[in-house]
Amino acid sequence: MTTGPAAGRIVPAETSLTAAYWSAARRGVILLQRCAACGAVLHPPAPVCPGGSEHELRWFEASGRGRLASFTSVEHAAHPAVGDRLPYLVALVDLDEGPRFICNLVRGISPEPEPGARVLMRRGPAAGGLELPLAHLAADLPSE
Amino acid sequence: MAGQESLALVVGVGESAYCRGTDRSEWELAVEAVGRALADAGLAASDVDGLVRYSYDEVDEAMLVRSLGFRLGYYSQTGYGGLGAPAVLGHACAAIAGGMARVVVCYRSLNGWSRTRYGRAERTLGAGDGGRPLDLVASGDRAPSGAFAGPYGLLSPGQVMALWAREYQWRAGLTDAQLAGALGQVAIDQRQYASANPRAVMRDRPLDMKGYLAGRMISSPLRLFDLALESDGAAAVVVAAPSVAAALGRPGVRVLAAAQGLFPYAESISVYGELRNGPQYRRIGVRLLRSAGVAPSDIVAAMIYDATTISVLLGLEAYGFHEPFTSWRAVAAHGIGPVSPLPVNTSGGHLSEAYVHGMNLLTEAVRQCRGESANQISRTGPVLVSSGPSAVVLAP
Repeated sequence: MTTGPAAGRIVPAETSLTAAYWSAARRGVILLQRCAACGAVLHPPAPVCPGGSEHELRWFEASGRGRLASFTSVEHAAHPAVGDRLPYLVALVDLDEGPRFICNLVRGISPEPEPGARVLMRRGPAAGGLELPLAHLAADLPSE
Repeated sequence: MAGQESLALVVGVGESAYCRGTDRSEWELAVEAVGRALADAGLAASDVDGLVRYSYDEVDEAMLVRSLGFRLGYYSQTGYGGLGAPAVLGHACAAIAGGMARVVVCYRSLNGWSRTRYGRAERTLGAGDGGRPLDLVASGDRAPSGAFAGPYGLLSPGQVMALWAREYQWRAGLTDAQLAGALGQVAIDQRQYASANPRAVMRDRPLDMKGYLAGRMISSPLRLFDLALESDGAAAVVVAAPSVAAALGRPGVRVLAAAQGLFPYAESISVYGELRNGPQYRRIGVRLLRSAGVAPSDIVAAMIYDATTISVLLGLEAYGFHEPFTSWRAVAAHGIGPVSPLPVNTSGGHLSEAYVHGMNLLTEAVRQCRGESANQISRTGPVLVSSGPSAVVLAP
């Protein structure tokens, strides 16, 4: 666990809806919700399936695989808490299971990411100071 | 809603001075802007019986009622921030058409420089409760600064729009230079409008492509001049029933149609749904223009909510002026200036006039319809004001 900058860490507000999610996320695992009735997959977590009141959402572990839909290199801190992390990369990932996911993109040896680049999730230090799932370009990781 | 026969008309506009740095409160600025809008309309505070505000405004209904002596029969709020800009007019028209009010004031007051900085996260991150004392808590699931974004340092609207911009770039198949050419043209043309607008904060700060590209990268691919100003100011409009408007000194501006769309993940500044030129956004645009009885080619000017330059490209595509992922080419080639095919944000907009959460786009649209803009366009006809999936069409 990193100690984070002096200004403090940026931590998620956990609710009864999201406690399981965050417990897994701190282990580097992304939990998604799948509806047992219609198969809809949700993120961020929701209390009910939009498909119908008889539908039932259940947590499952995401594969940790996805494609890069977008990314930005944050060069200007919007809060002192991340001032000493600059520049850092924020990725918008289309998870293979469907939902979109925000996380940091870890700088590797690859040059500028390509559109739709394959990414894999691994636990690591997020810009706000917690250990959470982060995206790595697949090309930067040893093949599995 | 109203078709060509408007059920309500905009009869007054007003604003405080726009600046960066003031010791005047948002309350004072709101009173000033509303007072000027009423004077512009030729109406008195005693004529006002309706009030519509943004839910985000720190100046609430009771404060204005106390300061101006309004006797209200109707008041309401529109949700979110900039999304409220066009929607306040829809609320006002609905209240008037429904017989709940005859004269409705809409306002927004925002000390975005001296008080609430929308480019920063101090307003959205909360204090810890039970964790480490210095911890900052990211709440809710909206981006930026929500629980699923804040811990990763996605903290400001501009950073989210940087994600929109890169996604646009990739899906349009653009090089960095092509994207910058289009976004830069938006920033440059709006700055040019501001140079002729005495109200504009950036009226004496010309910008060219060299200057745009020299702006420091804030959150790639967005640079300094891609982002809206942070400024202090208030703006207001007065909407009246046709019978009231007919007795005033000059013709009111018609409200041909209003739409306030919301569908999953279309709340302001989200990243989980489709990009803001997608099918659901375009359906709102089609519905709005059909309701107004106009085609995109009939629109003579557009005020498109420009928290960042990319929002202008997305808005041009959402409201049918261009096919998705094509507006960049037209904007890079012809710009959005006074002689372009569609002049956009002719006051300088949020990039160069002031950041009044869209209310200053509304006042500019009214002035264009009246023929009183500092950058008056030559064609006469309907003017669009949009913010994401909320929009109105005004006409002389």
